[in-house]
Amino acid sequence: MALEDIVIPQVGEAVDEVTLIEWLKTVGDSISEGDVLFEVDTEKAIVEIPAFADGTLAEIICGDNSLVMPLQVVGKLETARASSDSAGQDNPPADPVLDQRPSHPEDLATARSSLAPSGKTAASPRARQLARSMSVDITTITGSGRDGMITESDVQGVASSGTDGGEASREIRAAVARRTAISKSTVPHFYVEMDVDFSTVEERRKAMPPGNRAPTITAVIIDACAQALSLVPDVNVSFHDGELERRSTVAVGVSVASERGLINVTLPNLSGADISEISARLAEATARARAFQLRPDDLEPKSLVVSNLGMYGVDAFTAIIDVPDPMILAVGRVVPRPVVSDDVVVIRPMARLTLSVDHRAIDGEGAAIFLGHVRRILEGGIDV
Amino acid sequence: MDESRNLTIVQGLREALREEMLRDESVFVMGEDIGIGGSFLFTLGFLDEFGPERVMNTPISEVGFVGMGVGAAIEGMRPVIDFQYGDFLITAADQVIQQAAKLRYMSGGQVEVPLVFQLPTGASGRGAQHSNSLETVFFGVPGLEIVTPSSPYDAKGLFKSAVRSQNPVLFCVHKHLYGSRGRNLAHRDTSTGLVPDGEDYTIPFGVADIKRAGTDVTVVANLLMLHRSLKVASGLADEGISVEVIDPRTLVPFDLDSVIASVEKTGRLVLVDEGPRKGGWSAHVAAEVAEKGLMYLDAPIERVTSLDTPMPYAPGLEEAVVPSTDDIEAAIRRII
Repeated sequence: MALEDIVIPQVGEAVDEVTLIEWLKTVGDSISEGDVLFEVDTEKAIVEIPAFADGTLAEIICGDNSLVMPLQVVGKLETARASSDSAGQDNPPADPVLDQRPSHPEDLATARSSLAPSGKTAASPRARQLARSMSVDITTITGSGRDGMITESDVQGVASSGTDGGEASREIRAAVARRTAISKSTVPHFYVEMDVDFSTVEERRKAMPPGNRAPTITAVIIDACAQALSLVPDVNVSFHDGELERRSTVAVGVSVASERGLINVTLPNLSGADISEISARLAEATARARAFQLRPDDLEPKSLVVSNLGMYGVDAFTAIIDVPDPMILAVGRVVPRPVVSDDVVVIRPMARLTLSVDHRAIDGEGAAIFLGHVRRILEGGIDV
Repeated sequence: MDESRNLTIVQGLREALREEMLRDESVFVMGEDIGIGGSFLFTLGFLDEFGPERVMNTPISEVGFVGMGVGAAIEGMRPVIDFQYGDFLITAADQVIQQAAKLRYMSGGQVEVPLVFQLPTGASGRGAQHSNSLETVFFGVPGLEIVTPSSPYDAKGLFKSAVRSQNPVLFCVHKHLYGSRGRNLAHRDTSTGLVPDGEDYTIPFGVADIKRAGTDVTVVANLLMLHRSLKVASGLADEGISVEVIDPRTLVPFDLDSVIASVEKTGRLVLVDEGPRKGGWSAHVAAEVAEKGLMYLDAPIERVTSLDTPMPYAPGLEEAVVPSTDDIEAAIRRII
């Protein structure tokens, strides 16, 4: 005898939560293989989940109307099979066919085969060939193609992840691919570059009272961008469906490299926020993005994104606009460089800022004025 | 290229025929009412320029004048036979299928039949007997070359190659694409275009043209369906769906290599063909890709064709039978 887990199988294309609507059996009921145990709602369909073996319903862990995740254990089934713990004991299996099953019902294959008893797996020839070459068991994959057919990208996703983060990283990859392709092919980009002297920023950071964490370069630049957007409302716009739209609030995004891929998180409503508030909100938003626990307002449209690769030693780069934003600011590293000041060559901590601009929304003059304000604010020339 | 060279298909064809008639004295044209330009004004002005010996008005007797064309071709002439509607070629099917297509083979190459049929094809609101897709009807006949140009650039280059071919050529142009005066011209934005000048310009048979490059799905379409497919591809691009649109340009010979190379890249194939569901080039290409390119496919092949019915006369019903942009878009979305 064995007490085996009853798990939520991967149902259709649902990747997130599904609702366990109702148990059709109660604890103590005798169960035959194939009996419907409970129903789940995948937002696309109500799916009946049958028992994977004969036995007795021993425990219900997640009751009716609970939100559950694929592969979550929602109950226990007392079965006649030998438990994996007692595999070495001379306790002959009741059924040699059952004995060949995986001993862990949480194995996705078992959960899926209970949904598709015919045993046929619909997969494209291309997907089958790839699965063979990568030694991936195609029966373990959920298809996303026509009529649920397994496609090449389904196989690639399983092969590249293997973990529960796989679906999410695949989706982020696909989203980044789609959005950058649209942006680069449909948004007429132009670029404005400026070298910025970070002496003032460095002095202010050093002057922070002990115990207070100095704001990061990214936070300081977001602060400067937010102030500059208030000063140059002509660039606080976006071009959408052939129309120029003005924004009433100031929102700046930041590119975050999460484990699962690139996410541009928005810091909305920055009017009036000071550097300490921006630092705190930036830290929280970055943490949420890294943990992949975003809130709806984290993904709101913004006037520009700050993308900082300076920490990797990058001097300068040009970034692709995150549609429908009008601009993105690429930030290089702050590094001591010789510059001419009052006809003398001096060493200053410099960084190059490269602004990518959607020419449909903003002209060169507006972009230059905006970036000039960002520079003057960073260099301490404007005390806002 | 000079912007004044922005032409319609019929203008491109007229240039091609004129250049070939000037280049080669054995080229002549015949057909019904061609003295006043013919049904689609293909030969407009030719009677004045070349005279009645090389621009021959025929009686309404397709069997007779097609037979005369076959005989003239055997004797070393290069006839171009203009049809008011390609549908009427069916009347002369014996001359086309049993004589023109077979004599070179049956004589062991002792005779050749260099003969071009200029055939308005497809549905244009004229009812079942004037809406046949001739390229479908004759597709299964060995010994014929079949050309289906979709742009003025292609039409001119391919027509000159057709005149120079040693085989009988069915040159099928969609009735909505000629751009003749007084006729509807569909998709003017993509169905007119710049055309090269000069007699050296030709396009060889059996070379497909990628009319729009893409990465997510391959669409193969010709004639009017090519323009509908281009429109769909342009719309889907806004959503980030990248559609490659291939124009085979000639159905016989067919450039299968280009289609399979594209499917290797995209993994997905949609064939758009105005002919009816059964038979025709798109069924043949689907079968060939299934045989030779199966392992590249990441989704079932989709065929978008007319329904298997005689073409209705009622405009609303014709619209329902012929593949629409919605039908093409839906097929792409099913497998993307």
